[in-house]
Amino acid sequence: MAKVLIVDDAAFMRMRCAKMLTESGHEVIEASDGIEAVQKYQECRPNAVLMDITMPNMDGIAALKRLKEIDPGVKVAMVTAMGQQSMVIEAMKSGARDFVVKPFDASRVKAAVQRLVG
Amino acid sequence: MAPIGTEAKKGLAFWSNMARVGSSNAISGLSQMVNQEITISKLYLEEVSRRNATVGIHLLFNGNAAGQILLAFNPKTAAELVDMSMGLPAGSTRTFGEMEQSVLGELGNIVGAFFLNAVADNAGLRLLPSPPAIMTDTAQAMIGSVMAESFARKEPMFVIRLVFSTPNQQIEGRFLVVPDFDSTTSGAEKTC
Repeated sequence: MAKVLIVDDAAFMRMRCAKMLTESGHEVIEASDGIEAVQKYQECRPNAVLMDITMPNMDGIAALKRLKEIDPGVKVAMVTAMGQQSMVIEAMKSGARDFVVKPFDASRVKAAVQRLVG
Repeated sequence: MAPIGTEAKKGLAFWSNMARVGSSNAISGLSQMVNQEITISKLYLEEVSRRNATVGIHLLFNGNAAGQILLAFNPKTAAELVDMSMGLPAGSTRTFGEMEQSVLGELGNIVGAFFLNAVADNAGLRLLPSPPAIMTDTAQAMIGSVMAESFARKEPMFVIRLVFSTPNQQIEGRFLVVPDFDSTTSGAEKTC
């Protein structure tokens, strides 16, 4: 089972994701913005990151780029309501490995984590 | 009413074209979030009035166009939406603490993003929402604080106003988009 960093400014979404992943046997770490995500990634070195885009302080795209600088092998899936074509393209070009549009099915997020850590 | 300038007319034409596609997608997002069939009751572009909002979720957006989004419910409806989103029995939510506000913020995030996604993809634009802010206040205070700046800069101001509801009227809310027509023009020229 994997260690997964959930990054979302909405406590409700972090709780929902965390419940789903811990029930599947994963260990979960949480961050509420991009800055905290970078800190937690460096401290805990999770196997996978689920990253929202629209967040205060540092958004998810900026955090993704920073994580790629720190660890080019970082495995990130964007989990966001921002499904605009331009945003999907930028995220994938910036190194995201998957893109899940909210509101999501539990199975879709679990599958994304499996692909990241598999 | 003051006359509308050329740039504002282009913005008005653009947002009139985009109102339906964006609004339909926004309500689709809300419907998916709370797992309820929700339909648009009324959609129109109107001069703004200051009525009928008590719990609001407010977002700014920028990119190829700028503006504000406000999703407004009466407190009872907002509580019911929290119950639905969290899978709680109806009537469970009685106050709006941190977790309840987080749920409402996520609702606003999804509805606002779905609106902007549809407009952006249809018009080849990039539109970025801010994180949501929850407001619980009287209608007049809320509308006043959200739109004071727009009223100060623009006269008249227009909003895309959407009334939506579930078939049994359990959920009814209002969705307002306040585009800055001048900032929209460069993007609008691509499609209008």
